[in-house]
Amino acid sequence: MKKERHLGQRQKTKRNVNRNADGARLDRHTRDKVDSHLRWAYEQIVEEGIPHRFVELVKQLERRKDEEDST
Amino acid sequence: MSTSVPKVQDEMLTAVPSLRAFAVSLCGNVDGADDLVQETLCRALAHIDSFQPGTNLRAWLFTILRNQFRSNYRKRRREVEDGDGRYASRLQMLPDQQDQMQVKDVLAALQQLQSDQREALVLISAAGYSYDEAAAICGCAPGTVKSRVNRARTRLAQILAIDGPDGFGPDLWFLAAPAVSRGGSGRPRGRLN
Repeated sequence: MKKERHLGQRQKTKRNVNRNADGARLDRHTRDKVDSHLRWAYEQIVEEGIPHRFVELVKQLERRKDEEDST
Repeated sequence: MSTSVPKVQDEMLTAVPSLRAFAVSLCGNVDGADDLVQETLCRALAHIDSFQPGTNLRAWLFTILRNQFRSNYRKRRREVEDGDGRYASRLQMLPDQQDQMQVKDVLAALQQLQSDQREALVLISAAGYSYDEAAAICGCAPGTVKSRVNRARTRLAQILAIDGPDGFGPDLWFLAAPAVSRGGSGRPRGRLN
């Protein structure tokens, strides 16, 4: 009984430590920095907006679908 | 139904910038990413009847794009990289060259991750999805997504040499920018092609 409780406590402690499968520990600052890099790069691409080819493409597909529906 | 179709198509167009960003993160180059987005839109409109109005259209499109990428990847069995810097040269709205270099750095680092880890990290850290939403898009359990994100972050931190407050990052880069403009050598990393 005592042993089971001991194992349970160990598991809980282990869960609280942020380790990956390789055993490396990542502190909050590093995690935040990785995320900010990613978000920043992602936002740069998002800010390019909608290229014209996609506006045309959706219009074409819409027309094609309308034609198919009417026939 | 005919009144709802144009609305869905407008929503699709609104989602295109995010889809492109996700696609570039997966492919590593803008041409491949745009082709992937085009395939996604074609498939989505061809199967628009299977979309349930009122549910998350953006997540549905992300799922289609992710599945399409994996399907293409299995066919080709090779990753496409931005070896000739085409992506960086096509980024038109970046404020200066340092930013282009850094986007290129981040994209190149992402390409070194396993694809399942890469997609999980981008969905959570960049696209802003919850673990449950990302799990639905990737077709796995939320715990699996958490594990992949954790491994991907650790690997990316190693690749980008992010280790504590002095690591490589936008803040350090921007602090160094005035020195660069004065012709100094304050850049944290060497010039990229």
